[in-house]
Amino acid sequence: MRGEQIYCEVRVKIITTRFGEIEVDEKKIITFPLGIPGFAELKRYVLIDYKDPIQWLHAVDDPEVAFIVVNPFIMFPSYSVDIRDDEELFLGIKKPTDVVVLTILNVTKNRITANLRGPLVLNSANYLAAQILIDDERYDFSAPLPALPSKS
Amino acid sequence: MLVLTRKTGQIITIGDEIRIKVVDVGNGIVKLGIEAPRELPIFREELYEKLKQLNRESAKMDMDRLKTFFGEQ
Repeated sequence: MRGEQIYCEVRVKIITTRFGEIEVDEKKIITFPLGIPGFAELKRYVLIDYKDPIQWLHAVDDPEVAFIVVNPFIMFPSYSVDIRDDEELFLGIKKPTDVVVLTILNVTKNRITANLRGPLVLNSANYLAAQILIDDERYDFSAPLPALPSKS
Repeated sequence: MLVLTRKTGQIITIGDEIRIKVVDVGNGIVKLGIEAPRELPIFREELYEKLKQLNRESAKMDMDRLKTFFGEQ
């Protein structure tokens, strides 16, 4: 394959209420085959960098739907996610190093919480993703963020 | 709603691909084993409802609120 690659980047336009009109490489579109619970009909998302380590997971097909996401292991060092065999198969996960875990943040007036119970699991090898439910009651749907991420 | 009576170890099939087995019963608790196609997500309903509700809230976050939180203008 190498050496014979044809470089053809398809840019996809996405209309967003928060960022205006943006363009992304089609290959960077993440597919949630089952949608995200509450938004079953929205299957395509893109990650938009915000302030490291914060990103937005923005729906491609709805200008208003976007989630604030973060790598949970930065803020919760003891956090771990067990991905079940059927979930691995569903996402086509072949190598653990391909897995990217993101947690949705919920920002209210005076606090910010992380949904540690329902992380987003992304296979970076094929851009398939799903929100899974962890069968562990130690992890909260709304875990208060221990400290703000470093701004620098 | 269809109501079926089953004993421990017995199975209910739904279509060709879904099997629900009563693994254990006792103290008001039923343990079920479920076989279903991978593309069918299986959740405990109350947790799934909670996840949906939380996701709907989380999808509404606006930029200003996030900026305020991080001490920006």
